[in-house]
Amino acid sequence: MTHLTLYYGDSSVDEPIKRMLEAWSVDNPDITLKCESIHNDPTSAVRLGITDLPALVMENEVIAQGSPENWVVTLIHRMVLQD
Amino acid sequence: MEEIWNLRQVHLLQGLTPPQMDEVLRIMPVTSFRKNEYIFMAGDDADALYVVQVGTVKVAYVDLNGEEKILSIFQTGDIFGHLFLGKYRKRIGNAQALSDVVLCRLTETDFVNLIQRFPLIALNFIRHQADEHRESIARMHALMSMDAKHRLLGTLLSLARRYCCYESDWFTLPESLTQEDIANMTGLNRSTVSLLINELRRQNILGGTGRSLTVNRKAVEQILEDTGSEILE
Repeated sequence: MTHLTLYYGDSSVDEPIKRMLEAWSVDNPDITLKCESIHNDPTSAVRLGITDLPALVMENEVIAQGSPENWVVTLIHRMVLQD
Repeated sequence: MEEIWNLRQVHLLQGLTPPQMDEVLRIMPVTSFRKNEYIFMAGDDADALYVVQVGTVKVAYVDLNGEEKILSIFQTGDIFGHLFLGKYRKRIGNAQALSDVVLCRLTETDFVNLIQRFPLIALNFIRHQADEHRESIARMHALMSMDAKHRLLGTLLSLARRYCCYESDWFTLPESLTQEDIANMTGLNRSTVSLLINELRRQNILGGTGRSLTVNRKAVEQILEDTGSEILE
């Protein structure tokens, strides 16, 4: 089981990626996804080293952050291939 | 240590050990602002400085004609809101979140205590102020003496210098920074900036499409050096 947390803000690009990852996690039972607003948990954002939003965190490690078009497809492909 | 905080890229804290950084963080409360929210306004009494942990912040003022003039843009690791530490205690600009931001807030008392505890922070602060001052002089020089194209390049180089990873020739501007913002920083109008950006993209001096704008730092430096416009180095 892989636990992922998506930290998001209010930017217009954050909502589509949130919906997309939520749908993707539903289709992948080995993935659990938690979505957390940066405003509800700013301290964790600092602690984890998040410098850009949205940010995807796996096991307390930031594995991708910033413009989703730069990372989301590659990341999902990589995780699916690893499975 | 249970938690390693991401402070290595904070200019103020460079050179501190992880346990020292941990100690610093205990007195730096974290706060967040949503995109477009104001952190402080011109005329406010100032009582704290901020360190950007996530996101982009714009500090600007509105002139008598109602036009916004951007004083500076701040990103992860930057310090802002510290000008009250001199004799002028009111804010001179509005600080607005250009994206969702997470900030550490440090009061004057906390800052003084930090310096007494870690004198290296005072040295880092002086170095940061010296860089800021020099960059302001370079920007002022650019605004006073150059044509539109070189003013734009001077401003972009100033941003690239502050944030660029030196292992890469290309610097990507934050997407939250609009062409309108760049126009305000350079004293040009929006359509001139748009025309110049398109021209410079064709010359491969700038890159990216749409709102994504990248800057070939070395190419820009070369142009400014060739025209005698580069005074920073």
